[in-house]
Amino acid sequence: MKILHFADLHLDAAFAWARPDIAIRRRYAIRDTLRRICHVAIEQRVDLVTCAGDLYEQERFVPDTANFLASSFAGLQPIPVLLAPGNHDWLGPASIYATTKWSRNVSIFAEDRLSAFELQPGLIIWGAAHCAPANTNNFLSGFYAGPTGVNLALFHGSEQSGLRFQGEGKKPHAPFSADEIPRTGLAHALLGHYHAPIDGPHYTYPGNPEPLAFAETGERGAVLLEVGADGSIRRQRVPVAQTTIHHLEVDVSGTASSQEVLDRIGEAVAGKIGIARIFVHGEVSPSLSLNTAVLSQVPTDLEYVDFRLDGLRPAYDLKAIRAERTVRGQFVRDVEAATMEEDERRRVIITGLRALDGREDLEVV
Amino acid sequence: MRIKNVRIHAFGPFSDQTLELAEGMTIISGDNESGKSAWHAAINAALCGMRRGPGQVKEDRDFREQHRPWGGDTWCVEANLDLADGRQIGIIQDLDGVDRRAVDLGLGRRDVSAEIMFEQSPDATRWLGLDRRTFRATACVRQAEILEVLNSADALQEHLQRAAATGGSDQTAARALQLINDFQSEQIGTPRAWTKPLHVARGRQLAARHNLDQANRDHEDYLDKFRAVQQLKTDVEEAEKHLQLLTAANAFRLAEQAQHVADRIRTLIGELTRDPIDAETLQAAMGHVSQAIAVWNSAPVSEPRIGRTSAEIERKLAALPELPGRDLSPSPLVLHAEQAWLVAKTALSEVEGQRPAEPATPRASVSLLIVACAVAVAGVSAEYLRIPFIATILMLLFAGGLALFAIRNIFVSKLRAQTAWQAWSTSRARLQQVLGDREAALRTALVEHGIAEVNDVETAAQAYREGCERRSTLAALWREREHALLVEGNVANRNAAGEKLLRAARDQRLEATDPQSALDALIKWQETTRDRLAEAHQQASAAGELKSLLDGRAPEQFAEEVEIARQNAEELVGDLPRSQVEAEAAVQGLEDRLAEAQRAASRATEKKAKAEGELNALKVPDVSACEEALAVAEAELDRVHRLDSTLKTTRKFLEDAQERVHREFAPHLEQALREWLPRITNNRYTDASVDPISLNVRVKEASGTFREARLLSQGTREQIYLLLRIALVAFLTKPGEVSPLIFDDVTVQTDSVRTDAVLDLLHEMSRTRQVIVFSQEDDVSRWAEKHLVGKEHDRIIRLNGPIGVQ
Repeated sequence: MKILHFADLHLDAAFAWARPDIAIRRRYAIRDTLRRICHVAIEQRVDLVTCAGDLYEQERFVPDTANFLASSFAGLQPIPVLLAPGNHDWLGPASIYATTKWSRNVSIFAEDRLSAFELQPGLIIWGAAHCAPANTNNFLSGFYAGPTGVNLALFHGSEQSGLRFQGEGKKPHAPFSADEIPRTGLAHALLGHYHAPIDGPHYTYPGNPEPLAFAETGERGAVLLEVGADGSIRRQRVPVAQTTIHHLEVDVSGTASSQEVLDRIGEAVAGKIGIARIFVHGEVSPSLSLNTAVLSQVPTDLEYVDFRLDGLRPAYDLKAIRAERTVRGQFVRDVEAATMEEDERRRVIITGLRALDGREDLEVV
Repeated sequence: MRIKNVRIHAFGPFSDQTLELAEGMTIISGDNESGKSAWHAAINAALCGMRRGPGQVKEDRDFREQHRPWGGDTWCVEANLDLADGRQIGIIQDLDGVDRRAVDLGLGRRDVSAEIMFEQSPDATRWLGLDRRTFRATACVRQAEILEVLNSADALQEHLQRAAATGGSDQTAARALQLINDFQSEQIGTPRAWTKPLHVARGRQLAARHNLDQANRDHEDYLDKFRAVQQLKTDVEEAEKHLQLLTAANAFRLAEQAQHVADRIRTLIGELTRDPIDAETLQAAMGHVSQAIAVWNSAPVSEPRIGRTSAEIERKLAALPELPGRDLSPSPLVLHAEQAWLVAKTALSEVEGQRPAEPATPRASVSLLIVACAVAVAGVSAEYLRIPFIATILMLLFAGGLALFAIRNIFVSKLRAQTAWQAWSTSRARLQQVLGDREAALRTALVEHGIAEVNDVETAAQAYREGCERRSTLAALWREREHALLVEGNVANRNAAGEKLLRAARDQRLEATDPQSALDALIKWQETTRDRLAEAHQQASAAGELKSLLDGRAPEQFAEEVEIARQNAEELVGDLPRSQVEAEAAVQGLEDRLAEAQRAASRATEKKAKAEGELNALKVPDVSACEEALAVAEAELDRVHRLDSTLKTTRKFLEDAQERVHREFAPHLEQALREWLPRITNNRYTDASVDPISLNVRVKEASGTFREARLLSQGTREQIYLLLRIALVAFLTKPGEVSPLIFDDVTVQTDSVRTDAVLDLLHEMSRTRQVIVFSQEDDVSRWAEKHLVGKEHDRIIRLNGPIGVQ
């Protein structure tokens, strides 16, 4: 039995970090990712395709999305498709799930408790839906699958021990603990919600197949699971992302001009495609004024580059300045002794030193 | 730090020359073009090096232009230094190339450049806690700077401020604060400055927020409409499902009905395959027979003839004359008129017999009157008669009463007679009139009933009655004739009917010898034929029904249609529950319900289409794009806020640092001036004060009056400036190190006495720090000859230009 599992596609998501044209391109890239998943499902001749929620975003979807989903899944026929709505695509009267004419192969779990879908004799997929955008309880609480057959679960929930690895702002929707899975008679849980992939002993978070943010640089995609007759699982991750996100660090220390900085960054991004966040760091001449406009001149094939210049340090000899008995020295000492965020401290010092240098480019990126 | 020597490989006009400097004070003198400024610059370059890389300022460019080797050799200088920590340092400055390094001579020339790299070149003043810019601004005093102080009254204070801010290398803190304020004003502005970034960013953020809110509302609206359309779609589906059910039920019923018709057709066809009966011929024969029987039955049975024949009666009638008039019996009208006339006539006769007497004067009354008269006369004549008077009176009264009685009777009688006469006359006249009228009526009636001439109505009436009697007799004859004729006709008819019966029996091949046997046979035939006709009618009805059912189609074709209807019904039933379809088909009024379901489906479809049209007309907002636009606007506003915060924080820290440093600076400067100024000015000025806020310098005259230093003479300002520079160097130099002092023609405006005093002071200072003085002044040379010659730690160097050094 082969199952292709994915989750957290987030069709129609907003990309606050991107320019409008890039954001639109990202949304279409997500659609291409779903097509890729469908292609993999056909190519791998899977017996089932599952999605554990956050397939789209209810508060943002456009009418075209419903048609796109319906036609994409219809193209998988006769492969069955099981959908378990999540907190972003919660099942309501106006949700795409409830209002779209799906092909016969698509089944949607519509209750906020686990209900059974018998894929074949002896193999049951237990699925549940989020019926509200928040406050969904533990699906496994009070549930018992039964002693016979192979029982798998499909839902959107938060395995509590994994929450701390998911970054700030991740909310614990439908929280549960990993040990509840075997205790409830489930052989394995096919999950969604965590964007960072997790291969737990009794559960699988595929991660979001198409990166939505820069932090999502790990191996993610769909997961091809082979389920044995005894409920054993073999997993294989299948990259389906349309876009590679690069996390690059470029040291521009010693560069004497902005052109040299551009050259050094250009070397770092050479041959790379996709989207990159480049952390530029190092010490540069205090006279060097780098900003996004200058950095956008980097020759590259990347679709989009997000520069982070927090690590860029103008080569002020702060040690020496700190030792000065001048206003400048006092200023640096005072700022360094003050309680403030490091980035703010950096900007204040550079701004002050530039002003004392008589410079007019006082904005520090 | 002490500079032991400086070697020029190539610098300006010089090449391969070395300047050995004294540990204490070195006076380097020379005329114009002797190379003082070149050596001054060379010492500076050897010690501090040059800023490398981008961002060179005009000062750097001027330095390059001024001091590049004239001969094209490698632009290089080097120096040997002794540091306060005991290290001996060799420093090489290849001002064009890459060989720039400082080495620790005591450690086998170990490269220690990293300790003092500043702007990509080794800078030995870093060991002093300075850098090449602050060193030039403090310890390395040039003539140009002195001139600047002399030319500008405020230059002294500004220099102090600059020194306090950056060691003199850059701007003053006030200028830095001004730059920040200007930048903040331009790049942020106030919330009300509508062209400035803060206002613009806020406006954009608000607009983006508004757009997002609107987009969210529109999206909600879209979802509501979307939900409504979905509900309408469900309604349509249900209506169509119901319609489908009823359509299937209808088709099912039609198919069943068609099947029944097909069965009926088969039955009819079976019926029609038996011998056909010629109903038309049979019906015609039935008609003939029925008619013959009816004629026979209606023909009266002939009675035995009695009396005369019609011919005989006609002959007798022919012999009788024709009578006038027409009535066979007297007309009641005539008789009534006659009777009325007779009554009127009798009544008139009676009235005539009752004629009253003519009115006349009654004789009795007249007699009484006469008597009365007589009495009266008697009374009148009583005197004569001697009748007593009373008797006379009584007699007269009696006569009068009697006369009155008689007169009254006369009148009454007369009136009664007259009344009776008038009543009779009236009655008579009326009866005469009635008689006349009735006579006229009788006359008219008689004329109308055939009496042509009526002279006497009584006679005419008599004649009329007699005529009627005669005509009655004649009419009886006629009636007899007619009866005879009738009897004769009946016999003939009966015979003809019998013939017809016999003929009808023969037509039907029935045995009959007489009408009665024919009648019996025909009645029997009728009964048989009636059954046959019924059978024929049944056949005709079946044929008609069959024709109607087939409606021009062949039975096979109809059977095909039935099969198609069945298949159609099966298709329409499809997956529908058959029991439900059959139940619906069995319910009465299916067609009405089907029509209603069609209307309902149509209404639902129309409603859905309208809602879909409205939904499609909606411009669905791109919420994500609005969120992204808001994120961009908020990022920009954050950037402006962050910049604002950074600038405010920077300003605050700068202001605080400025205040604090100035407060530290001021006492140190005051102390230096207080110590040195009286010596140099020969107690002309005994004290000094430095404002801790503005670093404004004031000096105290011997009289006790404080004066603004900037307003003093050029010479005094020059000296104060020199002293402040020395104090600044001491203040800014890192504790534990001592900076050399390098002066270039710093006593130009100072008179001989004060020059000596300044040089004395510097010489005294040279015991603790190296002092190098470049000068072309004779006073300086003379002082040097007098004070430095023969001193171990001091040196006088006479420059002779690029040729050499003494």
